[in-house]
Amino acid sequence: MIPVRRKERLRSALVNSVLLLGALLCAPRIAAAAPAPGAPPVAATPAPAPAASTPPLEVPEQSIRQTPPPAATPLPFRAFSVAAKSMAWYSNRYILTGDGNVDIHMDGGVRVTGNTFFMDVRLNRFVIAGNVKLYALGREFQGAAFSDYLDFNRQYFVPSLGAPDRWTFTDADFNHPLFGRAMPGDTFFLPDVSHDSPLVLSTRVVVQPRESLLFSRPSIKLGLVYVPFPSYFLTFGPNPNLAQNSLPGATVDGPLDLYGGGHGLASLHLRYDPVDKVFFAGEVHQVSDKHYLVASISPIDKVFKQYNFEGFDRTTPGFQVQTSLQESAFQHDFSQPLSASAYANLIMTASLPRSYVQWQSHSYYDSLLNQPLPGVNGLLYYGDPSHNWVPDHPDDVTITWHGYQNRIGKSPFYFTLRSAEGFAHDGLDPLQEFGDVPYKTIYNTTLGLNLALPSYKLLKDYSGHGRDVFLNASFDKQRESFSLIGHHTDTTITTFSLSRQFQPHLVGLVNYTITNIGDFYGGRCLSGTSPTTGADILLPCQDVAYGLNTVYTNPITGAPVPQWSAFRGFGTTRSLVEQLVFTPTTYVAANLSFRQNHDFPIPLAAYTYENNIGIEPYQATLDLRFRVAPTINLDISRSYYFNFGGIDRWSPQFFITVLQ
Amino acid sequence: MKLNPVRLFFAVICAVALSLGTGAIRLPSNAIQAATPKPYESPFQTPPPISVTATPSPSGHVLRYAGQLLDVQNGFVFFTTGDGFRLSPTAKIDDPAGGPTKLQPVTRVYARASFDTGSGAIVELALSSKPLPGEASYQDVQRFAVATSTEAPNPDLAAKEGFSGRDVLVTFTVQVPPRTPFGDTVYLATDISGWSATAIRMDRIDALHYRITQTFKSGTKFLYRYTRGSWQSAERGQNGLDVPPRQFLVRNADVQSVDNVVYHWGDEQSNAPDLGSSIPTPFAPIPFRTPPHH
Repeated sequence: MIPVRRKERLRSALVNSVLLLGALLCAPRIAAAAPAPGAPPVAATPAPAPAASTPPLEVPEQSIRQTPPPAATPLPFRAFSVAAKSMAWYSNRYILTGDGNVDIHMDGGVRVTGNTFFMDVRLNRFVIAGNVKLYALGREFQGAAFSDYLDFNRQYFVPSLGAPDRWTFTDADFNHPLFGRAMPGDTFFLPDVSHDSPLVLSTRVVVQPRESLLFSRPSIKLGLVYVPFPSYFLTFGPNPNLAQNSLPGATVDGPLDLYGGGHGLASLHLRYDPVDKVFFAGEVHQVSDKHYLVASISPIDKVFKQYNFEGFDRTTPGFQVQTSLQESAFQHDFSQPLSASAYANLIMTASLPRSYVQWQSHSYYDSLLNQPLPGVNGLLYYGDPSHNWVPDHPDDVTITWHGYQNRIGKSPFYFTLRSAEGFAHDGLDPLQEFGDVPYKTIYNTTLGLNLALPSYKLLKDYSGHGRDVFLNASFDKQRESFSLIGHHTDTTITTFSLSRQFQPHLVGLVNYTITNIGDFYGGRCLSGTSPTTGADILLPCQDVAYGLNTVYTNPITGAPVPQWSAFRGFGTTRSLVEQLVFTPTTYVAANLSFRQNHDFPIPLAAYTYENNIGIEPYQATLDLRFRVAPTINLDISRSYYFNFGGIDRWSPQFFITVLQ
Repeated sequence: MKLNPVRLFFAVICAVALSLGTGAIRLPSNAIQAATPKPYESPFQTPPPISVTATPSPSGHVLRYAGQLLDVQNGFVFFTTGDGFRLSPTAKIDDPAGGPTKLQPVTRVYARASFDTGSGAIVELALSSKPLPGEASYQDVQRFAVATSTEAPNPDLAAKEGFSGRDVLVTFTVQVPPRTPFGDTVYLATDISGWSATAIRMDRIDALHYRITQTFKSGTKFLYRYTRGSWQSAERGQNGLDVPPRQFLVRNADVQSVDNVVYHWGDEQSNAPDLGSSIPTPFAPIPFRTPPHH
C-alpha cells in the first residue's frame, strides 16, 4: 500500500510531467508562431476557458500587499549578482533598482536578463521586467516579467511565447513549472521611487538576501554630491553582532562599510570630536551567531591613537566569555609610541539553576613601555616630559552570584538576591592609606537584596477608559564590606512611582527616589600622638576617616563650605520627578519633566554646567522627537537648571539619529 | 385533424417568437447581434471567454483601465498585475489628452488602456510618467486577459493567512530591571534599522516601564532587542547570558501590543569597585579615598 503522501507526490509528479510534456510540445510551435515585435498578434494555441470551479484571482490595489505567509523555518539563501547600466539604492525605502541591460546571475547557473529591476530587501523579493529572458536548464524563455519571492522560494514568470501565460516555479525547480497558477496580487508591483533620492549609485551589486548588499565602485551621496568609492557594503542582516562597536565616542560619526559578507565587515569612519577635529578611524568585524571579534583604530591619522578590541563567544549554551582590550598610544604614524597605556576587561558568565555566576576583572596598565633612561631632572619619560612613564598597574577581580527574580507567594512583590567576592590591588600606588598604613590590596564582600513591586493597580478607573493609577516601587539594599578594619559601605535606593494614562496619548508620572550612601568605619583607630604626653591618640575610625571639625572647601572657588561640615561619610539624595509624556502620533513625541532634588551634602554651582558638583536642585526638561523620514529621527532635548547658585542655565542637547 | 402546412409554419414561428420573448430559447448571440446590434450594457456581465484565436469584433464600446506597464511585446500589453492583453494592430498610442507622446510603451511607464469590449483588445494606449486615473476596475478588464494555461488555484495563498499590508499600530512595552537608573533611556534596536543601538527611543511611563508605539505594515517581520543606547548595555537574559534577538510579525489587525521583560543589562557591574572614578568630594564617599579635609 502506498502511503497517502507518496501517492500525492506521485500524482503531482505525473501531472507535472504531463504538463511539462505539453509545454515542451507546444512551446516550439508557439515560439515559431510568435510575431515580430510590434507586429499584430496572430492566432496561437486557443486558450482553454477557465474552469468553473476555479476561483477568480482577486488582485487588490497595487499598493496593497498580498503575500503568502512566511516560511516556518528560514531558508538558506544563496547570493546573486545584479548588473545594469545604472543601479540605485534608496536607503529610505530599502529598495534597490536597476535600469538598462539588467543581468542577474543566480544560483545553479540560472540567469535572468531584462530592462528593469526592483528589489525590496525588507520583503526579500525582486522583480525584473521588460524583454525578460530566463536562461535555465540550458534553455531560454522569453517573457514580460520574472519575480522571485526569496523567503518562500517561489519564482513567478510571465512568459511571452507567442501568447501570455503565468508560470510558477517552486523551490527554483525550473523543470516543473506550474502553469496558470494564481500569483500573489502584487507579484510584479513596481514601486514608485521618482520622489526619492538614491543614496548609492553603482552598476553591479552582489545581493546576499536578508543580509547584505555589496556595491562595486559605487558613488555615494554625501550631502549634495555623489562621491566615488571603491566599494560599499551594506548590511541589514538578522545578526546584531555586526553592529557591535569598539570605537570610542565621537561627536559625529560617519561610517562607510567598504567590504564585508555574512560574517565579516570592514569599515572606514569619518569622525569629528572637539579635540581631534576631523579624523579617520577604521574598524573590522568577524562574527557569527555565537561570537564576535571587533577591532578598531581611532584616529588613524592623528598622533594620539586608541586601539580597541572587543571579543565575545557563547562557548556553550550556558557559558559565555567577553573581553575588552584597549591601548592608548601617542605615536607618529605607526612608529614606536612615546606613551602607551592599556586597559583589559574580562567577563565570564555561567548559568546556574535559577541563578548565574559572573567573573569580572579589570586591569589597568599605565604604561606598556619599558622603563626609559632618566631624563631632565631625573624624570622618566619618552620624547619630552609630557610623555611621562608610569609603571602603575592596578586591577580588580569580582565574582558575583546573581539569583533569579522570585515572586513572594501570590503577592505582587518580587525579590532578587545577589552576592559577590572580590579584591582590588595596586602595588605601586596604594588604594588607601588609613592610620598611616598603606593598603595595596583590599578584599571585599558584597550582599545585596532587591525588593520590587513592578506594577500594582492602586486606583481602578471604573469608567472603563483604562485610566487606572499604577504604583511601582523598588527597594534595593547593598552592603559592601572591605578587608580594611571595620570598613563597609551601605547603599540603599528606594523608589516609588505613581503613573496614570490620562488619555490614550497622554501619560503622567510622579516618581520619588531616595538614595542613601553610608561609608562606615568601625572601631577606634590611631589618630596621632599626644604632643604633651607622647601617648597614642585613639579616636573612632569614622572620625579619623572624615576628620573632626573638618572645614571642607569648595574645590572650584577655594571658599569654605560650612554646609559640608556635618559630612561624616553619609550622603542622602532625594529626587522628585514629575513627568508628562504626550505622543499624539507615532511620528511625534513630547516629554516634559520637572525634577527637584533635596540632597545632602548640598551641591555646588560652578561657572560651567559641566563642572557643577552634585546634582542641580531644580531642572526642567523638554524633549521633542520627530520622525522626519522613515530612517531619520530628530531628537531635540533641552534642560533648564534654575535657582542654583544664582546662575540659571540652559543645557542644550540636540540629537539627530540617522538610520541606514 | 388534418394539419395545414401553412398554419403549421405560422404556429411554429409564433411559438419561437413567444419563446424568445420569455427567454425560453436563446439564439446564438451572433445571430441576435446580426439582426439588431445590442449595446454593451454592464461591465460586470460575464462575456464569453476571449481566446487568442477569437476573431476581433469591435463593438465600438470601450473600457478604460489605468495601470503601470511591465512590458509591451509580441502584440501584447503586460500590466504589473501580471496580465497580458491583446494590443489591436491599429491601436493608437498617445498621451492622456489624446495628443502625440514622446514616451515609449516600456516598463514602468503608466498607461491608460482603452479596451474594446467586443474584441477585448486594447485600441488606445495613453502613456504618462505619472499614475493615471482609470474608469474601470481591474475586475472589469480581467476577463480580457489572455492566458495560454487554465487558471489554477494557489494553495500558498488559499491555505493560510495572507497579509494585506495595512498599517498596524504596534505598541511595545518593556519592564526593565528595578536597578535601572531612573534617568536612563531605553531604545529598541531592530534589524530593519541596521541594528542601530539607538534606533527607536522609548518613553518612560513609570519607574519600571517604557513604551513606544510605531506603525508597521502588516506582514512586516523583524527582529529586535532592547538597549540603553549602546550594544554594551544591551539586554541580557535572566541567566545573565546574551539573548538572541526577539522576533515579531505584524499581523492583519488594527493594533497589536507586545509586553516584554528585561532582566539584566549588559553593562551591569553592580559589585565591582570602580577604581577610575574616585572624586575627592563628599559625593564620592566610597570606597577607597577619603574626601579632602584640613
